[in-house]
Amino acid sequence: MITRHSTVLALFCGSGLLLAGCQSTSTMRQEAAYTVDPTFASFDLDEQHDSNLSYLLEKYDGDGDGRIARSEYDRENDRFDRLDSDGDGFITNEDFQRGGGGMMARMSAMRIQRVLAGYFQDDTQVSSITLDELERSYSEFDANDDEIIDRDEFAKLAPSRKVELPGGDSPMMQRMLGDIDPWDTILENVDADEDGNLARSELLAFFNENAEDGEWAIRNRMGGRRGGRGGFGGRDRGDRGDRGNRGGDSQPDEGYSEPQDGAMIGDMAPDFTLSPPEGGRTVSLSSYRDNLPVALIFGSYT
Amino acid sequence: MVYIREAHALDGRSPMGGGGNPIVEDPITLDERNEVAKACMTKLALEPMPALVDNMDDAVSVSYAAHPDRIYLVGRDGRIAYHGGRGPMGFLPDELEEAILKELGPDYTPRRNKIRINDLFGSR
Repeated sequence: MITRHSTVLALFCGSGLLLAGCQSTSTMRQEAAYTVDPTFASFDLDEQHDSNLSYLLEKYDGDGDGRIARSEYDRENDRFDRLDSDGDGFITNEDFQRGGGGMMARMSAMRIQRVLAGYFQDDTQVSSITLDELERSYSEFDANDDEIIDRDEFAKLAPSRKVELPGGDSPMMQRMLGDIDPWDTILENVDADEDGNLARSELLAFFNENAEDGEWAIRNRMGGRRGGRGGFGGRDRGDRGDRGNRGGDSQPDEGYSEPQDGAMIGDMAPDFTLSPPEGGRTVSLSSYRDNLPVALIFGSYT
Repeated sequence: MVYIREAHALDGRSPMGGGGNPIVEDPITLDERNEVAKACMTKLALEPMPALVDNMDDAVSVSYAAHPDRIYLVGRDGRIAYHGGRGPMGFLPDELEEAILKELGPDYTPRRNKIRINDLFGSR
């Protein structure tokens, strides 16, 4: 996510969720096409899939058959394999659908999980929801006892039931969760028969898909593992929100690992010599040692 | 700004592009990474901030355990004065501001109430 902090200095956040750029594409063969929209980035999975696939097709689909064969792709084989998630030798729409959308699906999962955790539990132990709490909360919402919660029943009780969850105040979480409508999120994810109401059976079915031993731990982290059951992360019981923001977060690509901790406070900052993006000269960290602090912002565009 | 390995490359482990997010295939060469870095600095209007690009061995990123994003403040004595957790959850610009002010000390008078980027990075 990118922010501009005018009283201190321009800061850069690596996730690129809030974009201030303008629309531009490049058709040069070796360059990625950077499609940047000045509006708030979409969390719609279908939109994500469509635009990702379009980008790839435009770049590689030489014979225009709507899919990319290995022969049409000129980057590394293991990259192709990663994109071709169903392994049929072609990069197709199915590969995107099947892969669960990776990060976006996990984000989507986190949202519904936090909505349920925010409204369908008591607040004694907020880092997980138990089946008991879920059922009790359901009964409270269901004022007329017809085993269905409709929009009105939810709206009536929601404000008084809302519970604050850990980790909700980081800028990333705010952007991801700040504007969502809880009822709509519930309908999108849990209303299996799409009748606009939440039946007890629908909620229980959803819970059981994601819980382990009657309990569903709240994800506070976006740790990645591609494939598997599409983005629902409920089975990862390692996450406890109370560690605050200091723990490790997203994991880098397979085959690329970093230690959990880098230079510690009080250590001499590891020196380095790197070039700017336009190349040419090199710059060392140690060359800045002239009585001013140096802020290092590590990040990337995506 | 130290530009490092993409957090969410399209062909990487956690793709997040599309639907308004930038779509970037994971750079394989330094030239490619430089191109993405340039696009990033321009598109996000970060150009006043000096940028350096980590080499493809990701050595600097590893030594600072920086992936996917992270903030450090190196003090006047060359020692680490502050670092945040790994991003995105641990990436907290407000903490950096506090750390900068603390490092500069109570006697520091910012010009025009702003700490300008050139004051920090020098005009090199």
